[in-house]
Amino acid sequence: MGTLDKKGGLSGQLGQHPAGNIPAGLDWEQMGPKIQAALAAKKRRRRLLWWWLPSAVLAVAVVAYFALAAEQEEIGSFPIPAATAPSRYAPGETAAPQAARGETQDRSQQGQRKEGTRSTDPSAPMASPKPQRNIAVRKPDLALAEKPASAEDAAAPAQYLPAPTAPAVASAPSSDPQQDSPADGPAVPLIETLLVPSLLNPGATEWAAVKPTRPARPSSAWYLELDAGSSFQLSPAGSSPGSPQAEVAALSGFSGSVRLGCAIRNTPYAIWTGVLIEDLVQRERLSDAFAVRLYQPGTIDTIFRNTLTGEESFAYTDSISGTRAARIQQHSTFRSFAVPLMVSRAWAQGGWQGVLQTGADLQLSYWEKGRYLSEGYQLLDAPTDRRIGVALRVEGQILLPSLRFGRPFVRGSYRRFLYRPAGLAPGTAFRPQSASFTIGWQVRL
Amino acid sequence: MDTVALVKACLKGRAEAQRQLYEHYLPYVLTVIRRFGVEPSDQQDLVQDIFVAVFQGLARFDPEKGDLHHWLRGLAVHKTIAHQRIAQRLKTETLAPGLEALVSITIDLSHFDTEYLLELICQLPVGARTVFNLYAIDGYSHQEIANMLNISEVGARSQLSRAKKLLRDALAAKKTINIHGNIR
Repeated sequence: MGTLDKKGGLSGQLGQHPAGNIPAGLDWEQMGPKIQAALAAKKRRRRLLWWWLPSAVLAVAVVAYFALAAEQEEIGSFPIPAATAPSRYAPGETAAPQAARGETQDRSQQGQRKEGTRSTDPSAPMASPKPQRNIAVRKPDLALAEKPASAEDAAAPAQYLPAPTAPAVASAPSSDPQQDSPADGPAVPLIETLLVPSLLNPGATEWAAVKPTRPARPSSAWYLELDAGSSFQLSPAGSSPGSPQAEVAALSGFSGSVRLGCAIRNTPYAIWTGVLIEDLVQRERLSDAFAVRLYQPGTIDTIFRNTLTGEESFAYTDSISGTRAARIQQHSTFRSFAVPLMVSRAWAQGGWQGVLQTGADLQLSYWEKGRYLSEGYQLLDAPTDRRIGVALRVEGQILLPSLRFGRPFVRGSYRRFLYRPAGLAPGTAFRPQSASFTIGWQVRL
Repeated sequence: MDTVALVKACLKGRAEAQRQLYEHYLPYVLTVIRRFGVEPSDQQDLVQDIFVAVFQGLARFDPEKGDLHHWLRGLAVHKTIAHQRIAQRLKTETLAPGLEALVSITIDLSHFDTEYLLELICQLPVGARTVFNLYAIDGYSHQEIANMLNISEVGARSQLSRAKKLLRDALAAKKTINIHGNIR
């Protein structure tokens, strides 16, 4: 028996019923090509996604590789002795005292490596980033090396003289891995080989003219930050026009960002950009009750009973009184994406760092889910137009002392739109001003 | 061709199998679309969306868990609900639970003409119609309906109560027993 009251009670009768009067536009000849075209388009989109995914991973890997490689170069590189010759190797010194000081030299170079610094003189000749490929790019005066000026010079130890193939080796990196391999000898003899011209004829070489290495300076550095936390709008986005008794809470929600910063060399300033997302939710509640008459035909209103005869009669009514309660709770989400451009100033103290930064955001904002109550307790959709504009941002940040993989931080920020996005109800607008508190992690690239 | 073979052929992308499946199940899909009150102008697009989803999702169909008709009907219901969610806002008005269905009348609908019943259901308000369809025809529980429509369970019950009352009223008004059937 088909019945209204049972769950699935009409499944057999109405659920299995095939429709009649199928419109002519729904036959396979017309719909088939459309369906197959839609299927093909979806397949293409899926394939495109799967092609883009490895491409994106590859791009990230390449960027990460170069970021890491740059760091390795910074750590592994060092000025060749030519740059430091005036201070470390006085012209005319023999190789013996140099060899005796070799250990000291290595230690000082290690100290430089640990500091992660290098000569800031762009003209300074640099060795290969790989320690085993210590091949100078500046060509020594080979003519002088081949023709000693005096017999005393000619008596220099043979191991310090350039090999016959030295010009080719010294002028450019060899393609022969054996030549560049660590088996060629330790770094110091090779470097000292390059020093031979200056030892033989100090006044005739250019080594003496090279400026000494300047003290280490803080170099430019890239930073990556990731943070997430809570955000609060400082005023509601407006209440529903048709229901003033509705309770409207201020917007609050999630805030997060990924940022990339570049420290400006030799200054405490840095420039930042990235992508920020903010989801602010406004909750609206309404609880109302009002008396109604509910239509219910055949309801017994009064029973009349004759106590003598026991006869009964009924009076019927078609409506009963009742209370209709309307309890409505809904929320609207205001979403904004931002690309900030900010300048920061840092102060460091005892491993801690305080940062103040300010700048402007390029904002894309819209109501992701926006509804408002109209008269008659109808929920209507809010406009979801996307708006682009600019907002001002001021932030304060405290970075904790560095840990192994970066440093944690806490950040507070204030943002104010310079334009007015649409409010919930049509024809209204509001100016978002939000404060957010986030925690995050900063790594140096 | 039996259902399993038809599904396999469709998964291989054979147009003839797709045509057979489409033509066989189109009337049932149309019934679903119509009883949820989709506008005739939107029916073609919705049919296309449903069958695109069917052909895309056939790999997930498991014959051991149920027949293709039920699987396809469930998919059509979900697609139609999603369409209606965009096209029409479902009301979330709630009735006080104590006022629901003070008087219960059991109606045997088996004697009524199916097309007539579908027509009556289509005339219900959108919220009541949707909940009634999902509960009485498609067999979803109130909890499932509440989740699907993003309303409260009490709201789903009240919408169902409202739908049943309106249907009873409509059937009572049509007490032309000889034409459409009995109210018992």
